Amino acid sequence: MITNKKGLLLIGLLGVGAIFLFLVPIFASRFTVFILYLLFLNIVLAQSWNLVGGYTGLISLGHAAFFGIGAYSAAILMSELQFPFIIAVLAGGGLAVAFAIIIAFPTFRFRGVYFAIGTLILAEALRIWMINWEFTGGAQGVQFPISRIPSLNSFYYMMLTAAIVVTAVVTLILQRKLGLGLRAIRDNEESAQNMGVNIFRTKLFSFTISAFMTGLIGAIHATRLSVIEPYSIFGVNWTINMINIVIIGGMGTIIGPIIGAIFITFLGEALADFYTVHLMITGVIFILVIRFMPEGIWGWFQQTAFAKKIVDWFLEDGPMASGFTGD
Amino acid sequence: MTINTLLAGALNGFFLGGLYATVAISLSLVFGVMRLVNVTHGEYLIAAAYLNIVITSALGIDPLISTFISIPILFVVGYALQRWVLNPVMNKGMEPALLMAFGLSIIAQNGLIRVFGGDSKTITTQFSQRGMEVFGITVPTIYVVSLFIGIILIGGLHLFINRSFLGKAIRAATQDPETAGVMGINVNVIYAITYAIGATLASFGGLLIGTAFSFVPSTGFYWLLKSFVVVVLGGMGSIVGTLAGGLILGTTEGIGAAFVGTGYRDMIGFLIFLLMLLVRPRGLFGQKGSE
Amino acid sequence: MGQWHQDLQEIDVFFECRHVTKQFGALTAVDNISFSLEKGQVLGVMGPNGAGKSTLMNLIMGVYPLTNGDILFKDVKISGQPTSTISSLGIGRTYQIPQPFSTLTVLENLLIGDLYGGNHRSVKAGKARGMEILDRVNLIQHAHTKSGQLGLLDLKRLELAKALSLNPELLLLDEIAGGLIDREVEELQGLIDDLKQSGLTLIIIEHVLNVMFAHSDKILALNFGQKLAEATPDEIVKNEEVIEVYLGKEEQETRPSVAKISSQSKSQIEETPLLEISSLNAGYGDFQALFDVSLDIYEGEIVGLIGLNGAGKTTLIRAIAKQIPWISGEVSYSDTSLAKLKSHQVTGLGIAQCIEGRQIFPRMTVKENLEIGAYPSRARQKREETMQRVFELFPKLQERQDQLGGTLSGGEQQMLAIGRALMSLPALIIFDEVSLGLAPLIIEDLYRAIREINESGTTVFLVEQNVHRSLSIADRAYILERGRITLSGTAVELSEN
Repeated sequence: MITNKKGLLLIGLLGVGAIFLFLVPIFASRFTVFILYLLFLNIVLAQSWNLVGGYTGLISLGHAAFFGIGAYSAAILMSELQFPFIIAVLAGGGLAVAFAIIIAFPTFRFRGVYFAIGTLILAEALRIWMINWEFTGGAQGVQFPISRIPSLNSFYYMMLTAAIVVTAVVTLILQRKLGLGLRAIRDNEESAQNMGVNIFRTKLFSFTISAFMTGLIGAIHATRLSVIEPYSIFGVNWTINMINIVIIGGMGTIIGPIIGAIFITFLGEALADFYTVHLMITGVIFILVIRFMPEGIWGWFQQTAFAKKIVDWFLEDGPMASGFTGD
Repeated sequence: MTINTLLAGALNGFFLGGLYATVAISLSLVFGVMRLVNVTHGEYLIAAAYLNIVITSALGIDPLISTFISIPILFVVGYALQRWVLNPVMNKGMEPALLMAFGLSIIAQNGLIRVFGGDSKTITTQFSQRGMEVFGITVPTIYVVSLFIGIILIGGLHLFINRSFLGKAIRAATQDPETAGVMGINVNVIYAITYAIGATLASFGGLLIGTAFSFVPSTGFYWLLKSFVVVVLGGMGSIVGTLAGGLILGTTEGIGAAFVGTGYRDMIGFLIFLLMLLVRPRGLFGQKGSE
Repeated sequence: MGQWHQDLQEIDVFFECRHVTKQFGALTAVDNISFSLEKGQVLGVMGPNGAGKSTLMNLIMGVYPLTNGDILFKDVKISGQPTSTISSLGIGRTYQIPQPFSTLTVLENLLIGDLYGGNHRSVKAGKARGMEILDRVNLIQHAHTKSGQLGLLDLKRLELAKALSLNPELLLLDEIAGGLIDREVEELQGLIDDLKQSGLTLIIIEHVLNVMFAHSDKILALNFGQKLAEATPDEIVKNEEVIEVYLGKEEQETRPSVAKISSQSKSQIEETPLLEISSLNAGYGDFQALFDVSLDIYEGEIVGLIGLNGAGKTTLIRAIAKQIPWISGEVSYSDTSLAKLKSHQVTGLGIAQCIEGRQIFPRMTVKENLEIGAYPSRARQKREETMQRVFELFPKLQERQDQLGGTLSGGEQQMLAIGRALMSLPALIIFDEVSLGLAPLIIEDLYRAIREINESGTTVFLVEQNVHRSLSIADRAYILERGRITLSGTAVELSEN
């Protein structure tokens, strides 16, 4: 869609950035690599949640369940059934999708905040189940076969690739029929129905794609952790983290979750020794954003004169895209 | 499993249900009546429990008296938060207020960890660690006390909401804020008062949680979920329904746990909640159209 | 596009409603309505507010299930199908209040219909088709504007374009001209003509009757959910029943003209009006609904405000009550400016409203509803006493005092709304569409009550759609058209006009 020279420049810049990120492990310290790994993890999780919460208007408070299911599936498949890592990870995403389909039937009947409460309670019910289920090791959890855990650098590349792929996938979805349908439902469900949109099916697509990505990342991250237990891996904190990032960065935009993830990841690292203070500050920023920047940092930035100048500069030799960019 | 363990489970659960109801009253008012999805509810309960410990040790008085001293403090905090933090987004639909409360919850929970640390605490009263015989079955005394406190508070709140002029104004403002404004009601103030009353009611919930169980700052989340279940079971907007919701939740959990083991106890309640939302969204005592 | 539809075999029934009935609780909103349409016909649906026109539209679109009856489209039963299926079969609808996907661009709005309803796959082809439609409705310059930023006329165009993007064979147009000025209405008329020429079948609901009459092959007149008449436009304008429902019965018993003259002179003697509106401009967001509105109401008067749906009557009331912000102008109440007051403080001054749609608190009893009416502090102490007076005026309310507000009939709810307004002991009451959707007998009762209220010393500002009814009781009246006062005078003067 981008046809002019300046558009190519933009793509070029993104490409150089991506190549740079791929080279980081060669010269950077283990610590830097690890922080960037966390950043990419946060980007993927936020993009996944944003597809459902930001673009479809379904405030899900149950995404931790998808994360946990992905993590546990991979752990059991790898340790008990000796599955290869890649297969186990993909299966983790697949099982998260299965769970998403099952809970879609009851929860899609709940409107607005009841959907939020319903998903919150379902995720918690699942956590309690996992704490008690002998098969998955109960409260002790599961250990991955240490010998088969990839190196930190491999995880770095996996997560970087995931961040790029997921961002690209969400961008592509938004430019297609599905993406338009989602945004139509978010804006006006009744009118969308009148325009022929099958609400349940369209929501289900969004929900399952998001579940798959969350489950996949749960599986990868769990392998990196090497030992998982149900209290934290199914904990609501994962969901809170996703929502924090999306709201602060900018809900319903592609760039927002990336900005939010950078903000949250580096704030977290800067205050790593004061974990509670970090979360309190996050909470305060979260509230201020909702009150004064309802469209998040990115939404606010787009309104500034500086941003408009940049956009104008890119647009001045002809329409770059027909406004069909999704954010 | 003998019939006796089943009966013991049911009876214990029934009285525990009284505690559930008391803990959920605040949410019943703020979520059920005022329609604010107050996910900060759990933090109010736990903060009230810590406040109780602080007042008790500072003044060297009985925790029961501390409960009453903490009421005005909670009222002021609740009033201020609703008036200046939550009210500005109340007219933008339920989601922004939900997210706002979500942010407050993060701040409160971590604030509590910062101040009180992560060690588990209890409140010691004359009811702690004691049991009493009911129909030949030993039940923790605090559960029975909870049911009595619950009945008194729920009765009182029911009368206040349904009989007093302020209560009627609260119902009017929450049913139709715009028309209530036309009637001369300052809806912002009414919201703040309602929320503040909700906050003060947490003072009792916190006392009971602290006496019957131990708590850490993150325990609030557990009680938030329990309270959601109780309010939805009983019916949105029905104060008396909350008592029924608590008792039913407690009893079914008690019976269910006798069958499938105590580990799954909480899950039973959550599944009943989902079932209720699907089958009868307005709950047991909810009026038609109140869902 | 859509050519293959015509290649199919003969269709027996293009569109037909058979005994269509819809009940909401005790209310029968649409009552046993049958009619059929041939391909290419244009049907106009008329009827006063609350006659069931929009409900009929919603039933056709499958928004709620029918209580009874069937709806057929091209020989297929569509009642009972989900809305998305019905629209995919080729029925498009526009909303009275535009329902854009506000964060989507105009072109993207159309893509939804094309890709989903029209079941096409390619976004690129969809854009091309969308641009054609935008060209047709004259919206092409805004193709890439976010639809939330459009003005009213453009939103109406977008409504039409959205419906067309489904590539429909049957199009339901709900109040497409409502709220527009003459020039804009003309333009939309041209569009409707185009659609008719291209062979589309149309069902038009419209308050602006000349728009509807100009295009329709036949007219369906509704009242209280029932079919009043089905005939050609020429026949319908001669139909006595329709005229009566639409314009109201010409009541012989108008107020003695002496009274009018005396109050006319009173308004000249009195120095300051009770309520004075000067050059008020107001609206919703970017959409201005009131332009330079000025009017005075003197103590003891009944002043009427007459205007069609969408003329801005309710907006004016909401502006007086400070429920919407003013753009400019001034409203003062016995010399106190309302500019800086909040909504609830206006009521405190002594202005009560009896709002359109009744707005009863549904989960509170009749008695509680009345008590809430006495919320302002000066009324609260006397509430028992005032309630007795309300019960004298409306004995029915006393009988029903412990019943929930939501369970009352329409007429009873209106009584309650009036009673509740009286509870605040107001000096001025604003009545907004008291007669909305009520039976004539009940309306007479309500008007008698309003007269009594006025005679006991309360000033009345009466907002009405029905000209005759309003003038039968008012001393003076103002006519509001498209947000502007176009005429004012005594009831006698206006009756003659």
